Amino acid sequence: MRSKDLIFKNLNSKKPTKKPIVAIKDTRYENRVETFLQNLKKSGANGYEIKHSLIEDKIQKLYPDAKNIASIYEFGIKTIDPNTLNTPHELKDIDLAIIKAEFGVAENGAVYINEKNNLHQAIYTISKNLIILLDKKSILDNMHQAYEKISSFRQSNTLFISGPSKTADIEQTLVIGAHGAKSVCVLLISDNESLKLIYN
Amino acid sequence: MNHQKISKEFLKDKEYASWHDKALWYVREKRDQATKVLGEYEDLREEAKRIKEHTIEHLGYYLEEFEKNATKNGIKIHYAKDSYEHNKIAYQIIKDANAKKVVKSKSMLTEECGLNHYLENLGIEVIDTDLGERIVQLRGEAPTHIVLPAIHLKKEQIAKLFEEKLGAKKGKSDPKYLTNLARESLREKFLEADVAMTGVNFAISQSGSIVVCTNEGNADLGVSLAKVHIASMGIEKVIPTISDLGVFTRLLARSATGQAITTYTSHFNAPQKGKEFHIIIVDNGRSKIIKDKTHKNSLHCIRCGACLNTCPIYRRSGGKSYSYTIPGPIGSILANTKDNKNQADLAFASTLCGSCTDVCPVKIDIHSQLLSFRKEYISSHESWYKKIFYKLLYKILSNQRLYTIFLKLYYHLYPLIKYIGWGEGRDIPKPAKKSFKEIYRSRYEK
Repeated sequence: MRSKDLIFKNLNSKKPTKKPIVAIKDTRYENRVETFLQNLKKSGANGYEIKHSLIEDKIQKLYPDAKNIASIYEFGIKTIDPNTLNTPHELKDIDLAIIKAEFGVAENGAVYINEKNNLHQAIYTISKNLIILLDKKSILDNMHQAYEKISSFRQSNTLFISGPSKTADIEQTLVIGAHGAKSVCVLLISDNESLKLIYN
Repeated sequence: MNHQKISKEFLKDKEYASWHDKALWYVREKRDQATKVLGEYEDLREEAKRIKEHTIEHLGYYLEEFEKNATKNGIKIHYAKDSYEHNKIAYQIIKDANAKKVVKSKSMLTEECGLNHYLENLGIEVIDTDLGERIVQLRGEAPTHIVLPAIHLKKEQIAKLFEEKLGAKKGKSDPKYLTNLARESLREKFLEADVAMTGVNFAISQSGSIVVCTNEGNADLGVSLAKVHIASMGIEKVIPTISDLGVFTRLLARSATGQAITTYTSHFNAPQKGKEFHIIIVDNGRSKIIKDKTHKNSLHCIRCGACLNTCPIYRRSGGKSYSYTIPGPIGSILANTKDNKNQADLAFASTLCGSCTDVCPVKIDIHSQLLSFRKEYISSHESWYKKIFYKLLYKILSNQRLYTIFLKLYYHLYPLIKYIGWGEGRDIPKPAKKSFKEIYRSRYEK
């Protein structure tokens, strides 16, 4: 007997008539942006509300020493387009990556990354630092709303990021910068028209 | 009994034992804070329990749908009836890819299957990339906790290990320094690896995707660099829909470490362009448990580790005292559902206080299950004299007159009872000379 058949022998394969539903009264937040920023801070990241025209300025202020900056979008500063590289391994010396989030989640400070034009997923974890652009109006209350909005996965790999990579595996001491980014800054763009126009 | 023996060793170093206890309690306290801020937390637990119950009840259907949708996405699905078959399949995939180096993020299932050992014997280099797992791997140990694999080690021990293996500076035990050193050494491994292996936190039937949650980013980094991704999952990891993830992502990290969500929650939906993506679905005794009415809900476990952190026995005996891959209360159940002859002692590694049941995010009745294993064990294995003793005790405790006589006897026999083992490791209550009833009578019923 094939292994699959052996396993399924003990399982019920009939289609269920209906799925149980408990109506959850989920917490909503009066000021989602404020809650998002608070939880972002708890996750170890920084958040700034800025106008779209000031992105380049802000980047240079936040990371004045970043030499190798990667982004699939174009800015007024010199960047490398990861999509022009043959392998993700060539991204290993990237100091800073600028990426775009679909939306943010107030209850935990996470942002949803679903960049359909990015060929190398490695950029999200291999880069030393991350700047994440987020439309200020896109912040949802919680994960229920988040998955409702996602509804289906269209890219091979999509993810939520909540702050810089971290570990507490040595004596429960929190250390920022395990394998992924050592710092994360979320820029909440307050005039979103231009954001949509440029980055889609 | 094995667990007792090892625990005794563990408790010899009182200072260390107390440190271990506190380290875990600290995580439990963080869990409490993170769950209290959500008014709907109890509703979430109930919802999670119902989703799991429903899915396990119709597991054949949801697993079949999962396979169908994952295959549509270009993922190759494999079934393994046991750990040996799992390892064989994994090796075959690695061999077909002409690979020699594998980076692996945390997966308790591959621990259960003894995968590292199997692959290493066949000449494959397997690197555990989760910091805690890397530490125990370098020490040749097994993880002692499912979320915090190196919780049993002090930073000085890790500093010494890194000094030997990674060229750390002597005597430098700052966690930040050590973590950074591991990051640099593992970064090279990531860049060299041909295959990335991951575990699976949730598999979504509706979309044919898997979800992997980490704080370190090791799963994402591994998968995004290597040509081949192999994910190993138990059959019980399936959930029906994407919207169910809303419930589980809200529960998992809060229960595990007291975070609102893990740093990375990654949905692997299809192979990346030009790459391979395999999922090995493993039974290894799980489908049998579904038939077991009393214990089947142990399959609901989402491996958050909350029951370990809260357990007064686990905190004071350490992960090594459990003779099963998964330690702590839930591990004792899983061990017993697999093999209740050799693991029976684990059913006794509990005070039955019920704290595990209280913190379980999917509401598994953990302590009741442990009790039921004790019953099973005692009815079939216990020595004749203990059986007679229990019967006698039952008679005494269910008869008031006998009980009163027994209490009198107990008062006189107390010094003796202390020495036949009942007072060992616990305070046996000292009986009062007069019972409450007697005192009451002498005062008010003259």
